[in-house]
Amino acid sequence: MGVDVLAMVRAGTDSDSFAAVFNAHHRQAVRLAYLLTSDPHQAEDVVAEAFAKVYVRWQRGDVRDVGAYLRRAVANEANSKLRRRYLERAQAQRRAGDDRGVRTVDDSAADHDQVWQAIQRLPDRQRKAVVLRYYEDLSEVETAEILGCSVGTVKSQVSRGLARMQELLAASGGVATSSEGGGY
Amino acid sequence: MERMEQLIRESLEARAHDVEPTPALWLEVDRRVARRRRFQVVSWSLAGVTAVLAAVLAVPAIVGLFTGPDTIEIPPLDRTPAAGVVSTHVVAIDAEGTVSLVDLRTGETVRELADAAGLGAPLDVVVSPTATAEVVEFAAVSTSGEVLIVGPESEEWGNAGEDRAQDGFAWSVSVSADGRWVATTSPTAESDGSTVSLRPMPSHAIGADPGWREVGPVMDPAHRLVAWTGATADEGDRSTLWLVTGDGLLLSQVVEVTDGVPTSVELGAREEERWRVLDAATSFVQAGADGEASYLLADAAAGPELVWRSATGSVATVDLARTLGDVDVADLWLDAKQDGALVGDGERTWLVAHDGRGAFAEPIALADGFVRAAMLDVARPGGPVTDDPTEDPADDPAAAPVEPDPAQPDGPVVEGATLPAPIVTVSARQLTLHGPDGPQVIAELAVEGESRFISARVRPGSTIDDLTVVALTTAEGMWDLRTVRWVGGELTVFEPFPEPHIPGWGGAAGEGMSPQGPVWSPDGDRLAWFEFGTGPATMRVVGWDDGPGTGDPATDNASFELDTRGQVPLIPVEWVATPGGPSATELRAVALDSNEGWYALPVDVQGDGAVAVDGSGFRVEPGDGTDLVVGVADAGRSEVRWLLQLTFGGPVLVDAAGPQQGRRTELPTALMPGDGLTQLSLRAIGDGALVASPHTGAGYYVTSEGEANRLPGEVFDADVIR
Repeated sequence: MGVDVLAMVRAGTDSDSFAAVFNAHHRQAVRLAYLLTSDPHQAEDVVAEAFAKVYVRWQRGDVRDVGAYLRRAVANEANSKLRRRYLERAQAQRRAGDDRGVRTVDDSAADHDQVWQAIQRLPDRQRKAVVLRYYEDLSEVETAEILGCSVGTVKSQVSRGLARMQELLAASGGVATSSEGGGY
Repeated sequence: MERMEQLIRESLEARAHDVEPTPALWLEVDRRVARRRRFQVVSWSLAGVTAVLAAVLAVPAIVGLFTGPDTIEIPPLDRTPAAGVVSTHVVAIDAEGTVSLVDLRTGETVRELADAAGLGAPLDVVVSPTATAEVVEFAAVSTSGEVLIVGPESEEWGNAGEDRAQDGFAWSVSVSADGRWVATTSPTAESDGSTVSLRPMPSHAIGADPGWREVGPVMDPAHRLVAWTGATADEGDRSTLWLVTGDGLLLSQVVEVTDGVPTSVELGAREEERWRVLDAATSFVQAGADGEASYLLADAAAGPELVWRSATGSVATVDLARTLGDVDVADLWLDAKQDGALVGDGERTWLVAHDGRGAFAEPIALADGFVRAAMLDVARPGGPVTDDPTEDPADDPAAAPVEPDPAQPDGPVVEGATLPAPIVTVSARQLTLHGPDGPQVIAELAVEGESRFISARVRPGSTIDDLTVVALTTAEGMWDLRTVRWVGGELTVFEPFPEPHIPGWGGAAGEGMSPQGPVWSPDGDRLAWFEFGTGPATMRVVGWDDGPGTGDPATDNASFELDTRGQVPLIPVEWVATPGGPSATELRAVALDSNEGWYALPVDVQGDGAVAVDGSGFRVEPGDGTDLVVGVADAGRSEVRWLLQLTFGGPVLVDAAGPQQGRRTELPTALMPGDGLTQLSLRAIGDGALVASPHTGAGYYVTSEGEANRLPGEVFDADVIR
């Protein structure tokens, strides 16, 4: 019991240093959460919950790389949000007959970036893999660790994601995506 | 493809800069962190408190019921249903994704079963009905969509949807009643809905195709699997998958074993329109049989409620709104086996047990940190059976009182029992005198903050008209000892100890100090407690002269380093005179270690009143087994009268030196903490004992005949005025 209490009491005096951890990582965490959820409000909710979970381990001294642990926590929390959104969307479909019942993507950001629009249309698992690989610049091994899957799964998800994006962008006709192509 | 990759990078970078954290984010993080920290503190000291007994305090019938000036009668007691058959073990997942087998009796982790950190947040976990604590087999799904299946010597990651679903994943899971199959719901290949996929559980996968196969019709993707009843062993066996729709309706899907594989034959009609179902669970008479009792977690108008229905049609409901507080019903989950149900909100988990006929006990909070849990079945073939319809009368158990069963350790509760002396009890915020005039609240802690009473000790020589109590309180990790004076029916002093008599003064115990105790010397002239921190364990002794401190250097305030010899912190429980002369006393302590016995620390009172501790403390072993002793009490005598032990089956009160010497009384399981911390309070009273749990808030007066009478209200600690 004494050990537990010690940890608790220590936890009561460390808010300042955890604030430093927060300051160092929160901006990047919010951006990652936004890219995963497309919703700035949900992103903050995701990050708040992720920090709270990081705190539990951090105050025990179990976290050696806060950034990596936080990234994983954000990805997991975003998953939870995405699932709930999926259900909301399904319910909205039943109510409205199409998916206009729920519009969760940030409209202002979506409307002027076709690549971003395409990213958002990726299935959740592909999108997560793409964001972690190309925004966080994680290796396939690191991405697999965060997503809790094999490296092979990451490779296939990213590959499918890229292929799907090429289809989407080609269909939209706005972006040339091959190496030989020009620009926008 | 390089161009595509470049475009993606540019787009993600640009979009990332569309968002900036708001100033409110830190406040929100701080709020959530504070909540977790608070839960930690609460789970140490107060977790599992049942708050509903406060109403009993208001029962006016106590007035005039006492039979003498020093004898009070306990008001109509809150019936504590004798527990039915409740599983002793659960599979629990913590916030870090660690899956563990947890012993509900102690709250301790028996062993870790799997690391599911990569799975994300758990959505569902179900234990095979054929699992045992020795051989645990379970399946879980999480936000990542992966399915974790753990069987004997196996841990594998399956995925029912990865290759067939582009936009979704498995999100509910169930195991057949005979433990042969695991089923999940996941999106169809065409993403036009979801369907049930199944595969053999590991212990039944030998010689079978271990792959997933779709077995059901295309359904609404919001449908979730919640239970699976019936047999799947033989060709033609029919079983029923139970699903909950997004609208809270319960559906049944009949599957029949065809060519060795359960295959859907029909999606049943909607049922249970009486409730909006959030989750459901079924218990079994025996593995492989149809469910004989079911539980529903319902979203009722007044808040969440738990519904129990027996096979004979008896229905009992429990209002969970007060227990769960302000929660999003979408976060709630349920698991149940036999006579116990687990209900959680993703951060907290409660055990809600009944007597087998629907008379529910108060929910008991498990340790904070479990985000999901599932019970092991205790009705395996050969195991105890509870939901026997032949034993269950058709009448409504909610309306019919439960007849006490003397064979059950949790009962009976004898009404009209008397207390042989007035007592003082503490609950979370109140210190209460239970005297001839009935319960009177003496002191209340402010509602603000997280202040809690932890313990209270009555100064020897006190009376109900001139009462001195020292109470230990905590708030946000800080500790106070408070003097409570109650004179002539009025509160005259309710103040924290001043420096230098406060806990932690002098810093000998180091940082992170937490106190244990206090205890009064036999003459009431001094008070002692133990302090534990990063420094050496320390015993503090403060002299008393109408308050803490005497002004005399010999007796005012002293610290002694305790030699705990690597033991876990000692908890002082009493300070008694010993036969070695007027100066000879002994301070007794218990420790939540694995050792039998308690600890005795001789304390010698010198001629000038100063105390001397020679460090020759020793462990006393009662020699009646290896059970952990968590309390000793002697009613002022040097001889230990009562021992409180924690056994495999729960707390046991041992008459160590009374007329029934050697008798062991099994105490109500309501005392059993669910969070793994087993500290209980024990005090001798008359020829009986007071036992209370700071973890569940349950307090009992146990007579010399072994009858347990529930004390009214929350009781974390109790002491006797004598």
